[in-house]
Amino acid sequence: MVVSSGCSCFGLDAGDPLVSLKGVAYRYPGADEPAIDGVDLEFQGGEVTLVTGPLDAGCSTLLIVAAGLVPRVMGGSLSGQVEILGLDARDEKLGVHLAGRVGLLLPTPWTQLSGMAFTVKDEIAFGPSNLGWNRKEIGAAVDRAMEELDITKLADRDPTRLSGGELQKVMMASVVSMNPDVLLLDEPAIELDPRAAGALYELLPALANDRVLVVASTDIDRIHHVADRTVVLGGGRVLGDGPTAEILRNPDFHASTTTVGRVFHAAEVESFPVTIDKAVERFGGRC
Amino acid sequence: MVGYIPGDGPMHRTHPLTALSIVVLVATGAFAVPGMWNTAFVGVAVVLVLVERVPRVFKTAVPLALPFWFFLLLLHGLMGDDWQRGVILAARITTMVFVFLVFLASVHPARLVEAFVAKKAPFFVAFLFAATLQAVPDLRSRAAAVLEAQRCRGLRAGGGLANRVGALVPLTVPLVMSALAGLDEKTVALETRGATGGAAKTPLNPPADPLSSRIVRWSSLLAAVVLVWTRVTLW
Repeated sequence: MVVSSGCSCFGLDAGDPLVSLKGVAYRYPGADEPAIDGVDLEFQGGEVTLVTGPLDAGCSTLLIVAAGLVPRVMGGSLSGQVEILGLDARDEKLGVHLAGRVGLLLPTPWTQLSGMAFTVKDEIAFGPSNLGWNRKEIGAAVDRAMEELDITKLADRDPTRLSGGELQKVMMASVVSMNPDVLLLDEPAIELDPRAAGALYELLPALANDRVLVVASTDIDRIHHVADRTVVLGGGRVLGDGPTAEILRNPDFHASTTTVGRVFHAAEVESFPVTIDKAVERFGGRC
Repeated sequence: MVGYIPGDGPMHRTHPLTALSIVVLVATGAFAVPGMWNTAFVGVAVVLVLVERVPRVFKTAVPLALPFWFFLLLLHGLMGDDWQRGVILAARITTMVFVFLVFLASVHPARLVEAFVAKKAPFFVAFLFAATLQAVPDLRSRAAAVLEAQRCRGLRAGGGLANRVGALVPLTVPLVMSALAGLDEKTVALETRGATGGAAKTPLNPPADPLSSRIVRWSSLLAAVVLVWTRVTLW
């Protein structure tokens, strides 16, 4: 059954979440404690979800679990129910069914190079060519992804000789070019300068069209205005989940709000603003 | 270290797998042909270098091969009184070094990968070749980063022998650990980019493979098999 206009999924009805985690706990191989525990989350297509929290909160692990990589690829111990596009994460054929349908961008772009491409264009084409698309489709997908990420000028460069920021955009284009139904981005702008990071975040709402888009990031100041929903993790558990504006204004999560929000919270201002514009609007003339 | 050198020699122009088959034939010949005849294959390898116009190969190959000549002649000639054995073994190794470097200099890794993909070789075969060709530059850049980082933390990697030996552990452990950690992430990246999805990979720029190239390739491989068979059964 077709769930959303862009996604044909396995046994899902319209309105069902494309990614669903119920009572999920995951422990890495050799670890004593689970990296995430008791996680209940559902992700629908068409919205940008920000996952944030302090170090060791479990944000990156959550993305790996939602990508269907555990226990199949990473090993470790998974409990609870994980369904991706209607498929159980323990399905032995998951890798075949999900090939190209779940895109995951890691925060270390240099480890994600295919090692089989010698130009940026071929690096971006690596995913689509693995999916058996014809050359015309691959060319169109590559060109579109390069345009979206504003890296067309890098097309013929050697990907191993790019700067960290350039490479991160190339790897983002590599993931986007496969047109996945689920797009999981782990600190996608960590190598970018502030302006480029802002430009990349501006792309997210358009990329979320029809697909699940989850971003793990601590760059809340720049990303909050494009996130429809924010999930706050702590110690591997979900501490908060709701519309971004509500989460950022919730005093319980002041450590996971914007810089402006933290300042006003520290000043014990009740119902604090979280953006500079809102702060000026509220306190203009009196600060 | 030699990498790809642009050129227009026969091995540059031909299908990468045909170039590989020529390399296999020459290397097999050096091992299969008995007695001092195998030294002729050193000459063949040198001719390949000249025909491909990649003289830079000499700069890498000669320093690599000379120690083998020295130690093999020392062991088999001076100490074992069997000079011929020493020359034969050194000629085999020299031929291997030369033809491997000529291949590296003549075939761009991208064309080789594309050739494997176009022939519908399993993903791991193409990846194995590509990863091997990229392993040296990759490890070199990792090692440079580790060296810089450790120097910033006060490691003295230069100077006397004791300093250099003492620096081995703080340099090699992070190098190996980072390479292993990188492998984990590479596995995840390849998995999510459909590398193991089972679909036949589409070649992006398949190299031309005319009939003449195929004839040379299969003839070379056949000749290599015949050489091995003859060596095992007759010589």
